[in-house]
Amino acid sequence: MEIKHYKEEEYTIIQITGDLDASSAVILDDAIKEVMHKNEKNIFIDCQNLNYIASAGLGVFMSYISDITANSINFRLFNMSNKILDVFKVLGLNVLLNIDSTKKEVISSIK
Amino acid sequence: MTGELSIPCNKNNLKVVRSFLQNELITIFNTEDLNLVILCIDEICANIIIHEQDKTLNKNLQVSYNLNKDRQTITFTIKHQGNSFNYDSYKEPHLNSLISEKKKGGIGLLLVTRIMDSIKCEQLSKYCITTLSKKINRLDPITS
Repeated sequence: MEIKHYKEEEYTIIQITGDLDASSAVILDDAIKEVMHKNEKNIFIDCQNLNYIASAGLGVFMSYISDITANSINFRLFNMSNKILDVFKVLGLNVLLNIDSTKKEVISSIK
Repeated sequence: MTGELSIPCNKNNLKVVRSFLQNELITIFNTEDLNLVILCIDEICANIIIHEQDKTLNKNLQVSYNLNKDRQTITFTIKHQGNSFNYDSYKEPHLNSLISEKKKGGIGLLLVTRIMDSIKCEQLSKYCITTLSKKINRLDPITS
């Protein structure tokens, strides 16, 4: 799995490529931790190239829900395939996290 | 229809298990169910590799499946050298508690119990055998 994160205007984009499983979830955790420590207020997760997610990956997102709420962070996932969305839906995490179809939708929803 | 895979107990091999199941089961399940079933087997294997690390080091994990003759149910068996887990005593965690405690773990088995129809574990000598079953909702039109 590969993680890239970069700034785009006032947004921080984290792009995930590959499989997010028990062997790789720590890489995503480190990336989110890093941008959260920088007090970024708009963190968008690009899931276009996310091929697979296991509980270890879901757990990383779940562990930041409290901080996202407490610090009023615009934390949004987008470009997610149905295959990945189905996994979020099993536990209802699709309701607890903001999931948008496209980056355009993400940006328009926070303006 | 049956199949079996043996892999060294290492988190990096989880992808090998998923790839094996994807190739073997693609004609049995619809796409949605296939992804979720693969997820469950991946979760059980990951739990064994992570939580039984001291016992499974340098050992192999065997994953096998058996499609029942009526093609309505599939049974998966995961065999490893280690201790069994009593799934009957498993209590589902509360998602809200995990979120407020900022936990990263604790949802793997929850996913499995929501997706699979049954799960059990038994000890046979030094081996632990985990068995999961799933009713097949729809066979792929190519094989039906």
